[in-house]
Amino acid sequence: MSILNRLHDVFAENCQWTCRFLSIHGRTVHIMFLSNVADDQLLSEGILRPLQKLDSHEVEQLTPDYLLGQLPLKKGELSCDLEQICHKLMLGWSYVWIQDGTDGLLMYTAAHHERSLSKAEIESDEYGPQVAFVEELSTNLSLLYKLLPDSKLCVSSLEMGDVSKTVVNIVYLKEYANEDQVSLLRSRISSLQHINGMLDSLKLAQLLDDNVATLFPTMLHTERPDRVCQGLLANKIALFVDGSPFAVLCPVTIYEFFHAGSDMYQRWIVGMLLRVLRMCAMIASVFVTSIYVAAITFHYQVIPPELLKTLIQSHSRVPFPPILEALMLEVMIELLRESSIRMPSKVGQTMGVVGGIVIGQAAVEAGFISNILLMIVALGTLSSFVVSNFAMGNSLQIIRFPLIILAGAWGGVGIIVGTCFIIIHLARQTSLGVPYLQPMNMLAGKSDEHSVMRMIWKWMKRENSSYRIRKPKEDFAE
Amino acid sequence: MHINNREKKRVYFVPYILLIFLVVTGCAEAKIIDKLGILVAVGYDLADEDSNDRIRTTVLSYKPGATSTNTVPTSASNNTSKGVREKLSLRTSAKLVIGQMRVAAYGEPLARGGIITLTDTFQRDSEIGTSVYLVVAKDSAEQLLNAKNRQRAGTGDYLYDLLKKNIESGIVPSPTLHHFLNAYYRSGKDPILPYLEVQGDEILISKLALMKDDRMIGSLNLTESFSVKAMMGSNHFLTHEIELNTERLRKYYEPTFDKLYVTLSHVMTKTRIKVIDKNTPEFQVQIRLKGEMEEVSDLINLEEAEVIHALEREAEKTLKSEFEDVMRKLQKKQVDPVGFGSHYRSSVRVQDFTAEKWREMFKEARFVFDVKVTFVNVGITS
Amino acid sequence: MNNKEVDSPTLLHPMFTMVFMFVTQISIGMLAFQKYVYRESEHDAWISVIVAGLCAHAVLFLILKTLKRYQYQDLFQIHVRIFGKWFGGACSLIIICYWFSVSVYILRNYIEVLHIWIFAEVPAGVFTALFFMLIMYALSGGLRVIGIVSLVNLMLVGWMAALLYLPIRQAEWKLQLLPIMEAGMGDIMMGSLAMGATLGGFEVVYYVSHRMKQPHRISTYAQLGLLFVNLLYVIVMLVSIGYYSEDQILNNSWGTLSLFKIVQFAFLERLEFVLIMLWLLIIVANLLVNYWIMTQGLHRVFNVKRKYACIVIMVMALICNMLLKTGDQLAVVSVLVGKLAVLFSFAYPIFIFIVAYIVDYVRTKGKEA
Repeated sequence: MSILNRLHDVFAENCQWTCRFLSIHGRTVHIMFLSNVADDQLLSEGILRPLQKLDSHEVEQLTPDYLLGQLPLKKGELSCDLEQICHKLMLGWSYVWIQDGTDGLLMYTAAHHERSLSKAEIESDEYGPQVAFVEELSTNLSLLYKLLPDSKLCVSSLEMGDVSKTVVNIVYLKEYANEDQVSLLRSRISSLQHINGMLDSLKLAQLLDDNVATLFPTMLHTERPDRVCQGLLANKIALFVDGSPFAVLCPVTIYEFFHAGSDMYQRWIVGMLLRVLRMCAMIASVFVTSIYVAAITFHYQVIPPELLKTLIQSHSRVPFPPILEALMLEVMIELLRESSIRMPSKVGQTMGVVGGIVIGQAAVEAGFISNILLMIVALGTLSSFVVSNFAMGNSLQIIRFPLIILAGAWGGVGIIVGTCFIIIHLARQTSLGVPYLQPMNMLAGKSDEHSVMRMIWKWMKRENSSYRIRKPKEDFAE
Repeated sequence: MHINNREKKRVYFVPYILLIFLVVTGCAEAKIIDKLGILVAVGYDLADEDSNDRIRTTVLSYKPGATSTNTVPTSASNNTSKGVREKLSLRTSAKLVIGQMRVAAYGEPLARGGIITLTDTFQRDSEIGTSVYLVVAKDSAEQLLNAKNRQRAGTGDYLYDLLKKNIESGIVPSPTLHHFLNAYYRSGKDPILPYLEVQGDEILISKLALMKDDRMIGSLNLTESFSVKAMMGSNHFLTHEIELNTERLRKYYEPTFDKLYVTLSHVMTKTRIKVIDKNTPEFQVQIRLKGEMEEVSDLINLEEAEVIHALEREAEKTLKSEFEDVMRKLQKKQVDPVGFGSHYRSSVRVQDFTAEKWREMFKEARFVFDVKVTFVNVGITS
Repeated sequence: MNNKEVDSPTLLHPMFTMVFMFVTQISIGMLAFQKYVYRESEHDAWISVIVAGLCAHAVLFLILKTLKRYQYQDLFQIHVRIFGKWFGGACSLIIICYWFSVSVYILRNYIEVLHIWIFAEVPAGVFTALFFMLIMYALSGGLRVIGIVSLVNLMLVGWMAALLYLPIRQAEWKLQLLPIMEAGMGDIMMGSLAMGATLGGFEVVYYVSHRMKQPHRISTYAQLGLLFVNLLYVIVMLVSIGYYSEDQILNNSWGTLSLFKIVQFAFLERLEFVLIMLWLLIIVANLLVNYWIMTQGLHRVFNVKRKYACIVIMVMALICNMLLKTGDQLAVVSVLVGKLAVLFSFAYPIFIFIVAYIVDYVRTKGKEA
């Protein structure tokens, strides 16, 4: 059976399947492609027209080899392997087969449905490059090459998924990244070879985690090329998945989830204070509601008299115990959050704000919840938005619930037990073998990437040797 | 690093399950603030003669669940101050809790008999803070706590604010539980408490109660109180009025009244006490008083520095005699609220320094006052 | 599994020696040591604290010397090398029993604090189970996790030390501290002995040194850690002497906690409650180190799995905690553990050092002959 018939069999139920035959000076050339993924213009300009221009002399000795030299297309190869041909056809290639030959010619005629580059939306920031990754892998890599045009930049490609055949690229800087980590990552990815559908890098990141059950993201995803480059320069490895506009950076420590790209572009004091603010916001968003519940339910002694009167007045109208009241309000806020994400953007915003105010106000008026609690929960939610990484923000949002329940059952002791549990959990995590709470660099600005603080550029170890401009310091300036 | 390393890592479910179990079976007793009867003030009196009980307790608590935070008084009698809770709980619907107590009042008859057993239970109780104010009430504490004040504020809060203000910038030395116990347990010092009175619809601090150990044995009037507090270290007073002798000031002005008063505001005092003779014993008390002169009761031209200095010297003389008077009174009563005994103990190596020994020595002690008054300014006119 | 890269992160930076010393020395003792020292040497108690601290430094020096002689192996291995398998094993068992009694003492005393201050009605067994859940979870992660948890916990509690400023402002040091050295030498020494019971725990270096990346560097960190702990104790002692009057300090069972009663902020007061709750973190870190040493010991002596060793210890500790019902039973145990602490923290290292020296001397002589 000829290759033509076999291909006909494979694609018998695919209505896009097109097999065009061209008769040139008596010989028949078959051109096969899937009409939706192949580019019309490339087909006609790159295959059909050159074929038609062949003179009879050439046609007589027409071989696939000769033809490969004649067709003006970017990529082309000889093949008679049915599986490979099918795969390439699915990707938009065309198959050119000369009647009665053995080998055919695979030509690259894929059509690109690419959206244009746009501003970063999820990680939008005031300073720094504004461009964001898109769904097309090659575009993303070209953005990276533009920022780091050096031969040390290594890109190795792997394929995942039996059906999806997703291309995954591991990007790192040679001599910067730890070789062991790269090979570990590679072996983990190849062990996931037969995964059923790898459609986004976030899924990949979860599958590659050291501890699959952890509550916290141990790999950082970002849509900003400059963030990825910063990471690569700090010995990290980046993962790109074709079709996903997010790159994944690993290994990371927890502090990096509270960094924003623009910290590095701000004046140092501003950058540092913003980081402190973000850390405080994180602590606030996790603990405020549970502290309120604990104080109201168990520890009336620790409230100063003035505040006590206010709290009694505000809570006395509410018929529920504080824990129930807090959980109700938290769930309500979660509902608002979730609905405003799924709504069409214009409607969503309005609905979120109006719904929040109306429901909150009405609940207070009706004596369902106390107004102080409403304020506290709003504060916590607001704080959780300050955390720059939304995956981390969501994790923090979830921790609040067990903490509120613990606070309602055990008061302050419960909160501390919960906190201790979280600390132990975090201390157990590793990201590619690197401790998640790498404690050594917590405050010192040895290198920015692990530290809580952002220091003056000059003070950071990496920057020290090469860029330091020494000024003679003998006296005050005139 | 092998891939299996990760696969073998087990998910630890056990702690999670245990955690949930513990939370569900949590048997901690909730104290939700608006369901509690939070005590703000407690008063103790001697119980009636004919009853079997020893102590009558009055408590002042926030009305539970009410939107206003007015306080309600409740009273009952029993043999111990904490045992009375049993009886009190029969009279109140909410659970009475003592953790927010701010003021503890003792009726004068009770205070004269000694209050240490009642304060001891406070320091034993972990619920109670050490910043509770202890006060002595004229006649009975019950009457004080039941009184209506002119500002119509909750009596408990009113008492607390009244005391707090007068401790920070008035003549009342800090009467917190900590300071009371600190002085009580110290061999060379005696506690001193404010003495509160109800006059009509007004609650006021009328004087200070002198305590010998834990028994009230006398009181100090306002001038004496000022002197004692001024001697107790660095203090701040909002205002103080000093009477001056007109005799020596005649050459500076024409007196229209036979007495002259100056009032100082923002008065700062600094005191240093030194033992200058170990045997007598003799103390040197150095007091530096600074203040803005706000008012003079007669017309005096204050443009000359000389005049101001003369006024300062006169003020020093008055203060010195006031200090000497109050010390004579204290020595007669053998109480030492200033803590000269502590100064003595810390500068002289004495074996077995006890309160009894010190009382004997204190009676014979001599005091040399070195007072210096400075008028920081005389206001915006001269 | 036994790959090198997997193992290397489990070795710790030598700085963690400091962290371990902090959490083993500052446990429940920090909350209540004033009374016991003051009873002996009165207002010169702070001198006793300093003397005890200096002794601790000297003993630590001997411990480090011993460790160096045995190439930073842990005490259980040193026992075997000095005394042989059987007698060495017996010594290790005694040490394990000592750590067990310390862990019970610490946990039960902390639960007592919780009972007195916060939840009078919750049975001790429930609290114990709560603690064991946390301990089990962290212990399965090994010493690296314990180190990080201890460090983070220390930082979460450490800021409370700044609040000592408020009692310091009320302290009358001139009246309370002078005249210096009124107590006799004997009293000071008795005070130091009482302090020694609180200060014990620095021998943790014996057990953790072999898990450090560059064990020869731990000596600086260990001495520095001990110095900080000593300073903290001296400061708290000084503040307590200045803040309380003579008999007041003797009347107060939990001196440090009461120091925080006067702290008031606009939104929070009675900070002793906050301190008690945060102290849970210190207690957890302390127990983690204790349990790690015990499981390590049982593992070395009997070659059992650490998991089972841990479970056995926990069951025993749970029973002990539930058996101690009243305050005076607890007081008896506390006095006993205090004596044991002096014995095992101060006397035993000196003994080991001397024996090690003699054994080495005899062995080298034997080889030469």
